[in-house]
Amino acid sequence: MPAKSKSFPFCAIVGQDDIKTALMLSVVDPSLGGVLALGDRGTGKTTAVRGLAALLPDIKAVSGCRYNCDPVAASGACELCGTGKDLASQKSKTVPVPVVDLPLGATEDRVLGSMDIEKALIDGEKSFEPGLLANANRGYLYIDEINLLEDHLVDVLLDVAASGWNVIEREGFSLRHPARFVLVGSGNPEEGELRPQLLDRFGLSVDVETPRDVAQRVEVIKRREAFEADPAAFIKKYQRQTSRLRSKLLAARSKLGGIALEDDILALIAQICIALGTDGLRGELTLIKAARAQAALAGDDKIHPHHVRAMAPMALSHRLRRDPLDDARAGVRVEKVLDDIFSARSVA
Amino acid sequence: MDGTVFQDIGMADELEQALWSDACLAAQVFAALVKDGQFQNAGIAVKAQAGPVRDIWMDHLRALLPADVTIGQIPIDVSVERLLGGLDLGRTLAAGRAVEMTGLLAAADCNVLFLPVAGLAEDSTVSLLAASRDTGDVRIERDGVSDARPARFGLICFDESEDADDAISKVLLDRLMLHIDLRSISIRSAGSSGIKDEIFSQETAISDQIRGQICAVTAAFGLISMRPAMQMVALTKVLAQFQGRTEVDEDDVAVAIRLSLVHRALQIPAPPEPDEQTEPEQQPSPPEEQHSQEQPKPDNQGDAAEAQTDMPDDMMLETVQASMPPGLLAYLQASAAAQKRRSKTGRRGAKTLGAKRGRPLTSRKGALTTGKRLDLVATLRAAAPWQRARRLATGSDLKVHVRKDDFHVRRYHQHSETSTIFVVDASGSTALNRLSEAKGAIEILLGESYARRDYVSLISFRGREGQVLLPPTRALVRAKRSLASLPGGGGTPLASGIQTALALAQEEWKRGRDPSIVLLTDGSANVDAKGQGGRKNAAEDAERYARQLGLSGMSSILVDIGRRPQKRARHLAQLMDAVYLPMPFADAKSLSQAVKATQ
Repeated sequence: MPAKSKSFPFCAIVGQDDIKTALMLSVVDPSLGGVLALGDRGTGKTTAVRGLAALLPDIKAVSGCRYNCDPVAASGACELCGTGKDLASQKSKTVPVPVVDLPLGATEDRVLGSMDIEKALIDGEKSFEPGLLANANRGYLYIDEINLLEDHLVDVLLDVAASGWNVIEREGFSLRHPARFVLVGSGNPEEGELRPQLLDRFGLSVDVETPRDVAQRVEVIKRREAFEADPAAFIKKYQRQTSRLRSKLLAARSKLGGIALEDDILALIAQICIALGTDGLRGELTLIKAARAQAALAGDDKIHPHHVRAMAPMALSHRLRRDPLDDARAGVRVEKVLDDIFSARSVA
Repeated sequence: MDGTVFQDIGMADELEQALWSDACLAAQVFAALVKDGQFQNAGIAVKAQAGPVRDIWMDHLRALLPADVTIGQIPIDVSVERLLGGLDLGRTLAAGRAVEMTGLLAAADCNVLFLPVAGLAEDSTVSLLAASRDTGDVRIERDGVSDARPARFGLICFDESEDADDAISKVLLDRLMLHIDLRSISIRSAGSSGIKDEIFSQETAISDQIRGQICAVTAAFGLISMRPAMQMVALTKVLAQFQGRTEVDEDDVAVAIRLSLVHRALQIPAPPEPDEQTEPEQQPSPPEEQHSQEQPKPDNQGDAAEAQTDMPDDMMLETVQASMPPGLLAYLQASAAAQKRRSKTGRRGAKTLGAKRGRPLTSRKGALTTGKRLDLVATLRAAAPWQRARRLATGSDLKVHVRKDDFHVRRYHQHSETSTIFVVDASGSTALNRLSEAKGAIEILLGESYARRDYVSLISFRGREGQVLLPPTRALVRAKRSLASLPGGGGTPLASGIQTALALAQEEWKRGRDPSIVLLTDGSANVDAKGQGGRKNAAEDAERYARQLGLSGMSSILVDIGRRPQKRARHLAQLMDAVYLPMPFADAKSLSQAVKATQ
């Protein structure tokens, strides 16, 4: 049970297309700004995120660097690696993409990093002990039940996620280190509202639901049973699918820069955002990025309207100005506006 | 039915016997799972009051468990530190190096934990238990300690709740396989029971048909999450092994339904109701008259089930019905109804205000008592100047000499949470003209409360008494839903409305929240505190409770929803020591300002 490496294969997850798509897009374009998964207990949110780890290709990192700095790109390197003469000449190692799980009850010092207690006690020496944010650099930070996290910790996390840097100015330390990670949060809205400011900071948000169809539920159970009986064999069974998906994602990532964005698509995106009344420009920017990543994933050369259509719900539904007394769920409102806009287009 | 082993039970009635034999069978399953090392499945929720029956059951379970398995109790007010472990300060300071302390969860690895009064457990306790049951380990990232330890344990939860207020969290229920109910079992029924030989050797097969049946049946009981279905699969396998079979059959499913599903059902599948019952509802459903519990005849079930694709098929319904001992269905419905009736407030054991959260302030010198967090840096800084002197004085060569006097603890500043209680006159007279305006006013205030992340709750009074329609919640969607379905009509039991509000306010206050009451009324009353008609008594009772509210010191606002300002409403406001706001003049802004001002 405790073996972390043996997580349930991503490709073996039954249904759950929305969260799978959102996570795949975040691999194609990590700058999308994180994924928020909302849903009931026992819907497999955690399984999906953990399954992603096995899927991701390994990365190269400067060996000995506590922040897994990229030996190739000097920008965004930590203070040690950044001042080093020549990054390329440094020894490098291959490491799996970090997927850091923020456990419940984690204290601020372990999340942000703080003084090394052992050294302080034994040698009276003040040295910085990096926290989970450092471990998550260039990877994923997963927070289950993000609504249970203390507010100020969430604020700090979102700041770091947005800037890519963890800045420490306390306990006599004054330093900063790179912390570029994709934030994946999960939560259950029935157990406490998420603050609107928090919602808006996530790139994509998806509703996760348990499959209601009996056949699908049976399939979920069977795969679970098979996995628990023999994890290694089960993972092996899905190995080919996993590696196929991995190369698809890598291909999409390298293609991303070449995806064309035409003016009429920009106009369409603006039209959707105006019709929905989303605040600020974050909605537009995320929708562009998501549609581009989706186009890359589909192997297209430019963003088509149907990419926009497919991505709009997860890029926008959490950004609508909340009318606390409107009964309709945000997703429903988005769908309605999209239907209107797209049916008008097809007529024209 | 599985009555073969339990023949020596006394002469109690059939249902009691059936419930007791289920309870004993559940204990056997639990023990077998622990022996087999299936700790993530070994979980049981026991509905029972403290008493001899529960003790007998617990002794029974203990006897079944292997001798080397310990049952560790989780104190109800256990701290996160204690559960997870972390830095052992005392030993760390003595040893001069970081010493880790093992938490309760890791210490219970391969053993059993026991949570008494599970409904009162803090959210943090529930979440930590749930997380370690999911992963089989605990991860510690606290106070400079970073570690992961195995924590596979069986879990026994006692549920003493009389009503929905302090029921076990759904997070936990979802992760416990077995659910039994001892509340109605009398001591004479709680006799001894035979012990089954467990057979845990061979693989147990389960067919797709049975899996499908399990999926349909869990959904039919309103348990949508996949966990109960997975638990049913594991449970039926154990039951088949008990019977010496190597393949799960329908009898196992029938027994498993009793042991795992019926006592946590969110809906009872026998009458396939096509209404909104699919959604788990904690709040008392507004008017009982509308939901009269009728028992549809079994012969028309087929069509109803066909209509809904996700509903179980005939065969499944038969299995469910065959699995129920006579009278169980009625018993379940009665206890669910009683629970709803008694339900006064929202969930208990919510956040306590501690010195652990909020905006950090500068650390102060102080004793390190429970719940305080050491500010290590400040402590070391305080100790630094004395190092040489202490080294000389003690002659020891410890690197760091820290004394108790050096301890600095962290301090936090926290706004206390506010809780706004809306009390609405929904009687016939109001319903006719002013109820929609009153709803409008509440909607405005709800929006405001939402922005401030307040708790809100809704009480309406109509007919004979006041009723909590929405226990304190932050989930605005729920508030909205219950406001939208707020029924109107009937008499005006103002006294009961005020009384209910005061009781709720006091509970909120005990919870460490800051309650304020917003009463929407025109001051008229025609039903007294006992539910009897009569204007004179009704008005007197209302005044009495209003005075009581005033004396309690709870802050309140009275919004006069009469067509024009009413004298008696103003008088009532004076008694309540409330801010008086006549609605004809109260626009959205002044309303919300008034609420803010009282908090």
